[in-house]
Amino acid sequence: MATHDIAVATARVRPALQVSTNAWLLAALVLSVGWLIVPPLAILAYGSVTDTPPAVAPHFTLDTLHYAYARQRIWSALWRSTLYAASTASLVLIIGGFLAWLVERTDSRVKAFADLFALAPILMPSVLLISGWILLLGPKSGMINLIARDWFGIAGPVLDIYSFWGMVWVGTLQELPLAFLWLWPAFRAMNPDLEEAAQVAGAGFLTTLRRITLPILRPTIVGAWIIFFIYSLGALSVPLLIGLPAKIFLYSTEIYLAYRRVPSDLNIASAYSLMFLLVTVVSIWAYRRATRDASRFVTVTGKAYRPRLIRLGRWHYASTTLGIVLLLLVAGLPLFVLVWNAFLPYPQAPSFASIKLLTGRNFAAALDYEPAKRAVVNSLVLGVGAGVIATVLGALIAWLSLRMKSARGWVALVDQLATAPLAIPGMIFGVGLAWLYLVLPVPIYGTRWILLLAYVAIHLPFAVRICLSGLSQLHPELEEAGAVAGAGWLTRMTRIVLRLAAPSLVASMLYVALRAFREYAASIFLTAPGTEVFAVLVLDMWEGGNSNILSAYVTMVMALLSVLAIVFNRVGRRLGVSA
Amino acid sequence: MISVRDVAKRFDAGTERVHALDGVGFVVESHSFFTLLGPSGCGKSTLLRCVAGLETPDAGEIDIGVQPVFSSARGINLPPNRRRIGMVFQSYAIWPHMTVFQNVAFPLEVQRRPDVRARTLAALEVVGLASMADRYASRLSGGQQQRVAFARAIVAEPDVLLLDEPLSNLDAALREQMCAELRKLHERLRLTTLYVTHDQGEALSLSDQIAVMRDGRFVEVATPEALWNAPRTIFAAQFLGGANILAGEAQHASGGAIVQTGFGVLRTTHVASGPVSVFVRPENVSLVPPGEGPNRFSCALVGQRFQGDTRNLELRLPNGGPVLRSRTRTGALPAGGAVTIEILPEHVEVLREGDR
Repeated sequence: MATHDIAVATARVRPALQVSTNAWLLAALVLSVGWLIVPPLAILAYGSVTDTPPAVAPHFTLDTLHYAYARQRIWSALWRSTLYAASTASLVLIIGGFLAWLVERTDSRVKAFADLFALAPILMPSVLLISGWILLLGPKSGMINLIARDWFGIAGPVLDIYSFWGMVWVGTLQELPLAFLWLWPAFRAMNPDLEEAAQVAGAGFLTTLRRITLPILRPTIVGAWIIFFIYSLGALSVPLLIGLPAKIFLYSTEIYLAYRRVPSDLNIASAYSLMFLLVTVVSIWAYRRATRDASRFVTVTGKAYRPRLIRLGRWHYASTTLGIVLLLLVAGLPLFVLVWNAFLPYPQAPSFASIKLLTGRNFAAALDYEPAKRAVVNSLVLGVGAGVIATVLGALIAWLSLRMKSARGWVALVDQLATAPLAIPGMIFGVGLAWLYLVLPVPIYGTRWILLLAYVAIHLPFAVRICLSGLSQLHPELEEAGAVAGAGWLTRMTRIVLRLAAPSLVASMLYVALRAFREYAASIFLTAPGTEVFAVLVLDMWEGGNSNILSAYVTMVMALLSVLAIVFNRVGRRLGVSA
Repeated sequence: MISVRDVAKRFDAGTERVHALDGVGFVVESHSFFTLLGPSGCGKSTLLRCVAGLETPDAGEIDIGVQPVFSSARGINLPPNRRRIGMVFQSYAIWPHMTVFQNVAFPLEVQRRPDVRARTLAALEVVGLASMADRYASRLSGGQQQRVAFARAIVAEPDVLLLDEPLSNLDAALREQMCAELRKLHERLRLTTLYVTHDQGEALSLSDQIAVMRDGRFVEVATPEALWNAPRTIFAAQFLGGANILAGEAQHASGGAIVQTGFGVLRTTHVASGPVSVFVRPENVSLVPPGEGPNRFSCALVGQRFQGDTRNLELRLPNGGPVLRSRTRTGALPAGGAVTIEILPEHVEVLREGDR
């Protein structure tokens, strides 16, 4: 094949443009995506075997690794992190799985508001959920504890968020909507005939569940557990907002503390990060193994299923109550307490007296705080920028992996590079990028550009997936018809592909923008005065601020986000209709 | 004119390389209708897509008119958008975000041709869709989409027209109607046409020439009549009309030859001698009243299938041997009963090339 790709000049004909366009595109993507993903991770190894700060002639030594891993402290942090992540992953899977089962396989009324679970994480960035729960369960000023004191006269706090199980509680609520969204399609795709066959054979409900349903869903469940284990392990917000004040140090906290130490110890932070990367690689390997023979469990066929729904009967009320309670826990209560506190001068249990205290001063104070305003603007600009860039890259990668027939190995490489960040904790990217651009003579450290790089890299997997699902709907003959009609590559792209895939491209842009807006795990290592971003600023405000002003601030931001989400949704839908 | 010489293409299928095209060559004369016919996977669509430039052959040469569009030796590979072709796809590939008019006008627009509006309307007139110009193409029926696809393929007056199983997504009645229309359009426009199908009926009724393909090679190229009446190969004889093939030994006889086959001694009006393959079309195996005569056999009925206008019978000599298929008009016959058949000597055809 390669010989035909070489341009041979003839008088009348030019060689195929199409082949070389794709080849150039692929080369550009290999380089750009490779540059986004590989160096920030590779430099962690460099940092671990030196003991000199960046931008200084390196001194190579094994002391850094020795110092990092010789102490008991880091191993107990790793153990606590593992315990935290395992507990969280197990809890979200049990609750999320049960909810998915209720929605998909029973006649529960929870179905009616199942979509709200999908919306909850969009409306409630994790730093806000955690903030809300601190305001609810804080030992001194948490609303639930205040209500217990004022209404029922209980002196000590009934529940204290600042504990290991408090962390697991918030961590679970934070990932519950995602777990539900992850498992819902699995339940939907499962062929009910398989269960009905067991029942016809004489198996009861529990026997069917144990012998048929769970074994069939096993690859999905194990795979989801591993994913949520990695997510919880890499999460930084709960360990910082709750763990740090409670003096419960997790592994991610240790990385952050090493970085935050004065002078900052990036070598130790890198050495710690390496272990994280190792755990991630092992987890991905385990994930691949678990889902390897998922095809053996393929349960969907061409037939359209109308699953027979299990009648709940008198359990209806229980299931509806459960749905409402869960919705209150993941969004309703934290939302309420944030808005309530936004209007109060200091934390208060709701009472007639407190209503008289309501004030708008917090809003004025928040609006006066320059970094707060800057952070919102920065996050919006960076979110939109990352959304556009990630979507362009994601769409091109998705298109090539669907259409390019040659160089499949390279296409697969780009695809794997682009989806790798799915399993790599954001904070690892933060540490790596900070190192990289302190070493390289590219002056973007401390600017918005480094945050943009981080956001694009972290969210690229989502962009690729959304674009892939959109583009795979397009029959290749639609583009081939364009080529035959005489349209060149660019014309086909702009007049056919782009127009037909517009709804999913807009969805990808919006999704990445919203996720980037709340990103904190990488940002916390990359922001500087002047380049504050929203989620990191919320973390900072908890450290040394007034929780009522913070509430007013996040209330305004949530309102802004909701409006923007609605507007974008309208625009996207209009594009979707006309296309 | 389309000229294809020694075109080869291989695909990676897991570890082994599969020949999709194995040194194929043919010429489609200007203004004629040439059909590639074969079972699925025989390489016919790949060949068409190589002519279109949608696939790149590993070797060979392709000219459209006097223009070389592909040559592995000279390093020429013109992209599809510069080959001046029109093509109708199996899925029609009507762009759902454009109206009928916009779909058909697209080739004129991107090729920067003048008189876009007039030519587009003229093309829509040809396929009888002028009144639907402003409809969104996705709201059309299968037959209408087919017409839009055809109008779009001819609007820019291409040098050649490529049709990739265009009728396979239509139901039987509509397929019949479109087939007749396609032939009429061809007679009117006289575009050099390359057509791909697995349906022998379409191939026979549309084509000037048919190439029967198997495993990436041409088995036989001939006019529809020649291919039907006097195929040279077993594959072509069986693929078109499902003929009964019998191997045998021929001897000269007065008025033709007699052939000793597994089904007894068959008399034929054709001249042959030595080892040969003969074939008999099922519709030429007729039921007759019991009695003696040349090419008359008393057989056991081993199977029957009602087909509507005809009945398919499977017959075997009482003492065993090969199964002979007959297609005839008759009522239901008693299962396992005995029947007498006759094959007229002029219907016992001799394959010239036998097995290949």
